[in-house]
Amino acid sequence: MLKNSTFKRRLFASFALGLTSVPILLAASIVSNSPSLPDFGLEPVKLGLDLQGGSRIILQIDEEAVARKYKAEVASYFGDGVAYEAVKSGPNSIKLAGVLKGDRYNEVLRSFKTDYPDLTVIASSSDHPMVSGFKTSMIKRVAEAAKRNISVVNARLNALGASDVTVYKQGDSKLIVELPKGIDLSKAKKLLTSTSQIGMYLVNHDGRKTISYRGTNFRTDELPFISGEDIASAIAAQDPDSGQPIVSIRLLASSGTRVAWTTSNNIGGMIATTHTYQNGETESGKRNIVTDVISVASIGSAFGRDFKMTGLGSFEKCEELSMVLTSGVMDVPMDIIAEQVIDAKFGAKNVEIAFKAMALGLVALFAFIVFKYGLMGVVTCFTLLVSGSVLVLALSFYDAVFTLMGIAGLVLTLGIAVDMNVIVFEKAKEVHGNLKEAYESSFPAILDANVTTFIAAVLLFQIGSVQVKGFALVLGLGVVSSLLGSYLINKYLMTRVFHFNSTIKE
Amino acid sequence: MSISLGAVLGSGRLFYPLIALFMVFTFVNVLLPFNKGIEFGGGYLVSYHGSLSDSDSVNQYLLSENTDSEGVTLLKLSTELPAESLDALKQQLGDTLLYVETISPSYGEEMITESIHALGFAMLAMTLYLSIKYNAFMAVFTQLALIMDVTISLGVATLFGVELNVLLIGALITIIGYSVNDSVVTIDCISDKLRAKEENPINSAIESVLPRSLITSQSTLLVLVVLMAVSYNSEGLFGFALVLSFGVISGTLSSLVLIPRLMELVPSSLNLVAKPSLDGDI
Repeated sequence: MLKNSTFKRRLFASFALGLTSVPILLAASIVSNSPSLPDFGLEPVKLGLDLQGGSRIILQIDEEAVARKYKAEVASYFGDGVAYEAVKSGPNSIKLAGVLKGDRYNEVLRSFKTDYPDLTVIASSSDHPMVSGFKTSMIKRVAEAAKRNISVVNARLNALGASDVTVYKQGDSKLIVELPKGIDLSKAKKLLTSTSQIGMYLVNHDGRKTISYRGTNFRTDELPFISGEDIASAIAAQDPDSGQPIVSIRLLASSGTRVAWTTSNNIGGMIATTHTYQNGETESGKRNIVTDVISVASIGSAFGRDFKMTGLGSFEKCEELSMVLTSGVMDVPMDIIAEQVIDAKFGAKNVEIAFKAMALGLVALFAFIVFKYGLMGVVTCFTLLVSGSVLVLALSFYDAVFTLMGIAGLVLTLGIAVDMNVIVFEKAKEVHGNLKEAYESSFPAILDANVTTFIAAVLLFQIGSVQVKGFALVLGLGVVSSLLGSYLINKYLMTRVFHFNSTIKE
Repeated sequence: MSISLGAVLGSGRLFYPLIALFMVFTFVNVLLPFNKGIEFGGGYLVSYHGSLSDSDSVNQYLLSENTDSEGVTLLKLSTELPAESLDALKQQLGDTLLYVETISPSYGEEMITESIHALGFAMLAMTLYLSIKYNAFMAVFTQLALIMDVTISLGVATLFGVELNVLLIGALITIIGYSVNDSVVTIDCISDKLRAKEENPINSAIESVLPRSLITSQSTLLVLVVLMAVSYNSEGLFGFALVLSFGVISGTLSSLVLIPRLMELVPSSLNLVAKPSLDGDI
């Protein structure tokens, strides 16, 4: 009978050990690429740029452009359907043209107050009301513009063929784009800052706008009836008829109907097409926006959703334009303020050293723990591996990117995990080797320390910059996995499975 | 060894020297210039294999030049470098060029401000939690210990010329985490002794918590020393481990010496909030 119970105990112990080793196996399959380990279908942990190499571009939103666009928008709001400019504009306020009067003005004013709660309208004695409050309201606008630009940036980079791209906001008005190695950096840069736009204007004798093409002046509608916003997709191609590079355009369904209606009502009329883009910088360093008139053609028949645009220039230009049109117009132009190319070799060196160091450090640590705490130390080292594996699994699950900051987080997590065990073992000495008692009485201290650290991690994650977020994620997950491993699992293994009574030597 | 160290720590004789050290390092941080990494100073970082024959066009903007043992040279150039000179340099280096990093200083400044904001809120939240669990004084002392540890670590970094960059910020945040962990364990022990109405609660607490603190810091230092030994060539990782090591030492000292002595000096810190017991009796 004695043999039976010992056997049962041993069986139970091995089962418990086996179960807890599962995370280690899973984590190992994530971390290493060796084919001998079974593949559980888990994604390997992504390495950050500083560890794997690639390039990083930092884009700054042109806040001036945001301000200009904002003010023009507000001025047009009071323009009764026609685009108007402000009569006078200062940093925080603008003076309106005063187009609307009386009841119509009050009507518009009411809806303005709901649409733009951050701005205030000051009616003045002259017929030109003032709108102010732009300075503070700008911060929100810039943030929104940044968000919208992020989706455009993503679309453009996807068009370039980059699949593993990360785009995120930094501060109020910066975007950071991280590209894996292998992407043509100069192409990417051009694409990211491109503000190309096309406009197709209906030629109209009463129109307010004048477009000059090949020496002749044409008057057109103020606003284009087709612009970038109407385009669903665009592809650069070679025209089978003329052999020239063209952009083949497909309109959005909603725009398609409108365009078909407009063109069918204007057969025999003419359309002027313009291409607006940035051509370098002026002497004062500002963006040199150029508008080329690429064609003035007559409308032979109603437009469908698909048509082609000719006269744009080289095939390269067509390609760039089509990528820009497909991905959407940038809400607000951005400038590149920093770029960083990290050669994969350099990145690889960092990883090598870091992991080698961590591995060696871990070995030294385990040796120390076993030396101090004997058999209990062995179990502790085992659970440290388990909680480390749980951490790796959690990071993989959260799709987290591991950076050098993440290594800092690992070091801290390790220190805290070790600390937990040491607290318990030292307490065990005080309670004459009763491990269960030691675990339970040290719980409050352990909980408090970890909760405090967890609070800090959560706050750093919410508020900190992106790198800090990476650290905070590792820390937060580390706290949880350490509590799980070094406390719960250790406690269970030591008290229920192995029935240790601490016989720690000094 | 533990016994005599314990006596030294327990007698509180280290308190004033520690404060003095703290002041010294504060001055160090204020007076000595930081070795600003590019993220904070702005400029260009050019890394390549081998060494370049002097290029006049670049020299006048050269802030520093470093060649490590593997023959990789790192040039730091100021933001005033004209674009053509940079392009010419890139062409000249050709295949030996490893990377070029361009940073405008505002990027780094923003990151620092954001990090400080985040840190401030984290400290506030921690203070709140600890004030509820223990008492406000202890919570504040924890944060003071934290500030001391960060100052000393930053001072060490400045003294040794460790570059102020993202990795260093990571090290500082790690030290904060370690310091907080250490401090909370200490004040918990002190609270226990106070609740047990022991005669000399603070000294008894220090005695009680000393072995654990020493072993934990020894273990962590062990890992860090190994890290330093392995990354001897890699300036970044070595500096990181160095700063962390001093941070761990400082963190241990701040928990064992600073907090207990501060509590002795401020008697009202000994009044505990009734501890919400896990068993439900208060």
